[in-house]
This record gives sequence, structure tokens and C-alpha cells, in this order.
Amino acid sequence: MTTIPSNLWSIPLIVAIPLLAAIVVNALYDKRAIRYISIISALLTLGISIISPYGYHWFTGHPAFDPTTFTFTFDPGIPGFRLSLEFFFGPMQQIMIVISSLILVFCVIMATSGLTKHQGPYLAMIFLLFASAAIIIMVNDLYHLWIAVEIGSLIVVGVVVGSGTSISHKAALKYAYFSAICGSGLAIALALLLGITGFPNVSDVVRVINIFGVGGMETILYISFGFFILSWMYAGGLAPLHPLKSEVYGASYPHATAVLQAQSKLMLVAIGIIMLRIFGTLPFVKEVMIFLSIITMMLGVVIALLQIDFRWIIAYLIISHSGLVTLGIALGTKEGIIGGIFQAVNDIIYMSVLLFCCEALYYFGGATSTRGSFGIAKKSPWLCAAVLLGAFAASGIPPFNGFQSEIILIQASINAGFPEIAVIILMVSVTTLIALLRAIYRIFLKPPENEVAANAQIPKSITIGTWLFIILTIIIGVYPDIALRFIVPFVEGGFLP
Amino acid sequence: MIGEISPSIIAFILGILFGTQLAHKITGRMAALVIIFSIVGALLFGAFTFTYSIYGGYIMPGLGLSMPLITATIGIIIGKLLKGE
Amino acid sequence: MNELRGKRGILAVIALLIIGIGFLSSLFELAGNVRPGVSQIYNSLAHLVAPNNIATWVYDWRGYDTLLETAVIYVGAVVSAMVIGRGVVQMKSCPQEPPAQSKPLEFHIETLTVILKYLGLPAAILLFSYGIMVVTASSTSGGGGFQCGVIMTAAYLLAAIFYGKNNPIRFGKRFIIGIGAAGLGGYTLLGLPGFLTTGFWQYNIGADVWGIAPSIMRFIFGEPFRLSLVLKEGVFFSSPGIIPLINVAEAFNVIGAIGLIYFAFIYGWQEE
Repeated sequence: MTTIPSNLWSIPLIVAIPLLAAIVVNALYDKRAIRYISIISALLTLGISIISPYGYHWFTGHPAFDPTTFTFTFDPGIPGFRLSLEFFFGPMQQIMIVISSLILVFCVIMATSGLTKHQGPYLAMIFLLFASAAIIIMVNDLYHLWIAVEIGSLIVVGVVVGSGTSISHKAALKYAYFSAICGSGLAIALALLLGITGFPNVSDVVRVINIFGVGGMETILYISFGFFILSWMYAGGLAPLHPLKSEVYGASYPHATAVLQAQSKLMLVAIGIIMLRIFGTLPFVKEVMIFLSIITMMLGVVIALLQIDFRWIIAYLIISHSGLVTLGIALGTKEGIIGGIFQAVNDIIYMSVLLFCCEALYYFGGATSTRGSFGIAKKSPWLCAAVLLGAFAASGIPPFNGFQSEIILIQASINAGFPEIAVIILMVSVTTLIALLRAIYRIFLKPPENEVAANAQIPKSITIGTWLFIILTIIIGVYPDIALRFIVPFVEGGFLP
Repeated sequence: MIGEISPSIIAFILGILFGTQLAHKITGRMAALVIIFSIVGALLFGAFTFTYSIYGGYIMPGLGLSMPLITATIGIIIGKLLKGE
Repeated sequence: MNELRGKRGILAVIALLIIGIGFLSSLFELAGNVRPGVSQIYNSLAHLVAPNNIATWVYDWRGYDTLLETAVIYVGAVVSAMVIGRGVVQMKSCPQEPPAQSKPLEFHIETLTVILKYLGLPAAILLFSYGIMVVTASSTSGGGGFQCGVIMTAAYLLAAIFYGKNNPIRFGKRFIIGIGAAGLGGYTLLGLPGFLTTGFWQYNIGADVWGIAPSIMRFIFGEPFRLSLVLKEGVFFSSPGIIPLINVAEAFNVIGAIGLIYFAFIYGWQEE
């Protein structure tokens, strides 16, 4: 057996390359070089995350303290207290980061070709958004988790503000306002955990709680859990804080929403798993998480039915499907967690298909309102086919990927003794299909009543991106093992490589 | 130790950098005033606990000069002269 | 605040009360029961790095956290400037409402007294040198990059208040953006020497607590800042390593970030 390194080379690069790219493109502001620099950086990140082996990285290079022998060690296999900031890159991190960076690549290409000149700061925000998502999914340190959530919410504000409309300003400022409450809430949660255990590293916290207990301070653990839940709701867009996140999704450009939703899913998975690891043994914790997930699933999909704009329908569907992700994690069984993470992967992929199609509608003059009918199927039949396939994948119809993860989730909830939840999952799938088909019929299929640009040229990047992700949905739908072989070892190995 | 003088050198370089950002004309009188003030300030801030040497501005127990403040001020004036107007 | 009237307001107050009571009661319960944990280990190793223990904590033990903290300031500034029009983008293919452009503030500086008029510039210069002194003292005493940046930008704001459009500190757009980028980029890249030689990102190769850095790197980054500590227990030699350099980068970043906010909000942001 090969030893797991504590200084894996790829982890710092996955974080530092987007960070440096963001700094450079922001400084260049409106130069043409921005396009090349950002595409190269995105491709580099993708390449590194594909070829990287698994392991840990201890930032600032301080070893672990082994309390049994009173020595310091650089071997992550020995359960010592970590002096440095620990990141880990395992199979689950790999699949999440690979897919997010694939989205990043297409997002960057679409943004640099489709947007006006002063795109430096906007692209910087998109790179940092990816970086924050990658940090959150890799980090094994509470304090760093908080900073990543904090900077992540600020960046979300930046991405939304970048589109410059009054709706986006309103959404962004609302989101920023709540980040003050929820961000500091998470900080309080961490401070309390640090107080009762003395360690910021998640594994160390779990170990201290398991070995020494909490000394009769369970109430503090519960209060910490409460603040954690608050930030989970906020960062991932769970009910009752879902309007904040759905406005953010709806008000930004679809290519940015693709990265935004990937970031949210990664946050939900990462924070959810950390909550399970720390608080999983407390009574009522899983019940609270399940309750929130169900409310989110139902509210999101019902509100999506009421929307009259394709962008906002997708925005609320993303919210609703976030509930599916968290439901799996909240069930707490191995099957459930596998289903939840798998759902996150699938969700990121098929939502990207829909969002890229939505981006293409901008080239028909922004024909996203379901009040008008534009007959886009006639002008661009391939786009119509793509959006229909995306809708099928989102509603969990075989042979697409959504089906595979939803079936795992349904089985997991029946096995966990909640057949009612299985029914709700089915209802969400069906309602998703109805909400999407209603919009697709009005915008794409119905004979045109409104004029749109006749000779619209959809950029190749959008077409390639859409079809690449559709192929991914089918491949994962037919061979789910291609994704599951990354997720199952992560869950069965106790979350660490 | 060299660690006692390098802060003063860094302060001087940073002073030159930020001195180039000044726009108004600085007269000789103003330069003298600023340097005198900086020496007074350096006495007030004192030498830091660990700069226990003549480089660090140590004069006698309990009394010392914060050298980086003085070198930074000189640097700013030199930077301003370099940039000209 | 209209949205907080009525039922919503009552709900918000109840929620805040529950949160407040929960938080305060847990603080009471924690009092006297805090486990020191990792801080004991950090403190026992502190004498091996900078004389200023806080600098060691912030820039060495938790140095990578501080990088992201720094990035928070940078992002905050970029986003604030975006709100008033810097870097707003639109789809080329789809015309939308025109982005907001902010106008500069109006200045009335006739009422300035003679003393302020003549002492404003020297005060700004002295604040500059005070800021520089603070950043160079980062590893030996209270001070550091954050504070330096705040002091320097305070000088900028002071000069803007005194002299209005005719600001003697002429931080231009390019200088502010450039210094911010150099600061955050420099901080990020200071992780590189440790990464290339030991494999650990941002390992403090100058201080080299664990003896894993090559001696040449230890010399380059450690020697310029090595100090002898004359204490009752004897004479110790220690070097803060890359901490002073990180602090300079940090200061640049904060100057760039807060300077950008001041610049954009005082003078407005118009695309040329």
C-alpha cells in the first residue's frame, strides 16, 4: 500500500491558479489578453484535478502532534493533532472539482466571447467563485471553512452585481445583508466548538468529542449546530432562506448561474458532511436536516410552477433539487449519503445543460419570458432538442443521470423507514417535468406570436458545452458506476482518503 | 544582527514608492518640518523591545529612536524629488 | 426598514431573542471550561519564529487562513466598486438597461482654515511614514499589514477631505489596482518558495522550524530578518522568515482595496 502524502502537490495549485488568474484579470480590466489567460487557467485547473493523485496537503507545513508518543509527525496516517491547515483531495473531491472546473471552462469561454469589454472584474469573481467552491469541498478545518463561506458569499454578490441591472443589484444587496447574519453565525458556531474541544481541525474536533466527550456541555453543541444549520441554509439556499439564493440564480447571467449552482451544491455537500461528522450522533439533528430538505424540495418546485420566466423557473428548480441533495446527506445512512452526493453531481450536470440553453436564448434577444411565444424550435431545432433532453434528465427520466441518483435516494429513504419521503421525491420529479415543459412549450414549440432576432448565431461554445453535458448525463445514466466509483469509496472509507 | 537594520531599509524603499504618489510641491521648509516631526515621533514610539543595538536606534535604557519612521520620511521626500513636478 | 414592520418584525425580534439567549447562555456555560487544545502546542513552539507571538499565529501557524482573509478584503473592494459601475458587463447580443454610473461627490473646500490648509500635506506625509513604520514592525511588536493599509488609506482620505479634487496624494486608478494586485498576488506567491523546496505551500522557509528547508533558502529568506533575543534565560536567535514580506504584501493589498473603495466613492467611476 502506498503511503498517503501530507504534501500533495495538486491541492495548492487547484486553489492558487484561480486566485492568481482572478488577480491578473481584474488588474487587466479590459485588455484582450484576459480571454487567453482565463481560458488557459481554467483548462490548467481542469487538467490538474483530473490527473491528481489522492492525499492531504498541510498548508504552512507544520506537522501533527502525536499525543501518545509526544512527538511530531508528517505522516497523516497517524491520528495526531494537526498543527497546520488541512485540505484533503479524495475521490469525491475529485469528481466534484472536475465537473465544476469543466463548467468553469465553458463559463469562461462563454463570458469572454459574449460579454462587453470591461469584463476583468466579472471574470475575477467567476474564478474566485470556483476557488471558494474547491476550497469548501477540500477543507478539513472549521476556521478555514468559515472564511471560505464568507468569501464565497461576497463573491456571489459580485457575480450578481456584475450584470448591472436593478434586479441584480437588489438581489445582491439582500444576499450581502444576510451574509452578515449567517456568516457571523457560522463564526459563533466555530468559536463554540473551538471552546469545547480546543481544535479547529474537523477530524480533531470529532476525535476529542468521541474520546473525551463534551463535559456536560451538550447544550453548547446544540447551539453550535443551530448556527451551523443557519449558514447551511444560507450558503446552499435551503428553505426558509431560499428566496435569497433563487433571486441570485435568476438575476445573474445563465453561464454564471451554472458556476453559482455548482458552488452551492458543493457547499451543501461539504457543510452537510461536516455537520454529520460532528453532530451526527446527537438526537434530533438528522430530523431537523431532513425536515429542512423536504420543505426546500416542495417549496422550490411549487414556486417554480408559478414563475413566468425560464431563468426563474430554473432558479427555483435548482433550489428544489438542492433539497434532494441535502435529503440524502440528512438521512445519514451510507446509501443516503451516496445518493445525496451522486444527486449533487447529476444536478450540477443537468442544470448546466438547461442553463446553457437559457444562455443561448440571449442570442435570440433574451426570449426567456413564458408570456410570449417565440417558436424557437423552428429557428434552432438542435437547441430545442437539447433543452428537452435537459428537462428529461432533470425530471429523473431514464436513461438520464437524474434517474439513477433519484432511485438511490428513493431506496435509501424507504430503507431508512421514511416511505413518505420517497413519494415526495417522486412528486418533485413529476412537478419538475411539468414546470419545465410548460416553459419549453411556450418559448420553443408554440407557433410564434412575438418577433425574435431572425438570424441569431449561437456561439459554438454554447452548442459544444450543452451537448457535452447532455452526453455526460446519458453516460452517467447508463453507467452510473462511472460516477459512483468515486463516491462509494469516499462514503465507505469514512470521508477521508 | 541584520534583522535590526533591514526594517529601516524596507521602510526607506516603501517611502520612495509612496513618495512618488505625492502631487503638491514640497518646499525645503516643509521637508525640514516633516523630518523634525518624524524624529520627535520616532522618540515617542521608541525603539522596539528587541532592537537592542545602535542600529535599531537604541540610545539608553528606556530611550530609543524608531528608525523606520525616520527612514520612511526621508524615503518619501526622496521619492517626491525623484518624480519631480 | 418598512419590510420589518408588522408580523415579520415580531418574528425577527423573537428569532433574534432566541439566538441571543442561546449564544449568551453558552458563553456563560463555557466560562472557565475552555479547552486550550492546539493553542498550548502553538505557544510552546512560538519562540522559534517571530518575537511577536500574534504575528506568528496570524502569518505562520494560520498563515493560509490569513491569505483568504486578505482576499476577502480584496473581493470586498472589487465588489463595492462593481456596485457603482466598475466592470459591469452586458451581453453583446441582448441590449439591457444601461448600467449605473456613479458621479463624484461635490466638494466645498472654501471653509478650510489656514492651519489645516498648510498642515494637511505634512500630516499626510507623516501618516504615510507612520504606516510604513507599522508594517516594518510587524514581526517584533504590535503592527502589521492590515494596520499599515488602514493608516495609509486614512492619510489618503484625510488629504481628500482637505483638498478635494486637488488631492496631493494622487493615487490613480492604475496605481490603486496595481498595488492591490501586487499585494494579494505577492502574498499568494510567497507560498511558492516553500512549495517548491519542501512541498508544503507557504512553509516558512526563513524560520524553518522543522528543519526541512534547504540551507540556501533558509539563508535567503531567514538571514535578513534574524534577530538576537536577549532574555533573562539567555540569548536566542530567531528569524520571522517570510512574515515581514507577507506583511508588506498584505499592506499593499489593503491599500489597494480600501484605496479603491475611497477612490470610487469620492471621485466616482467613469469609464474613459
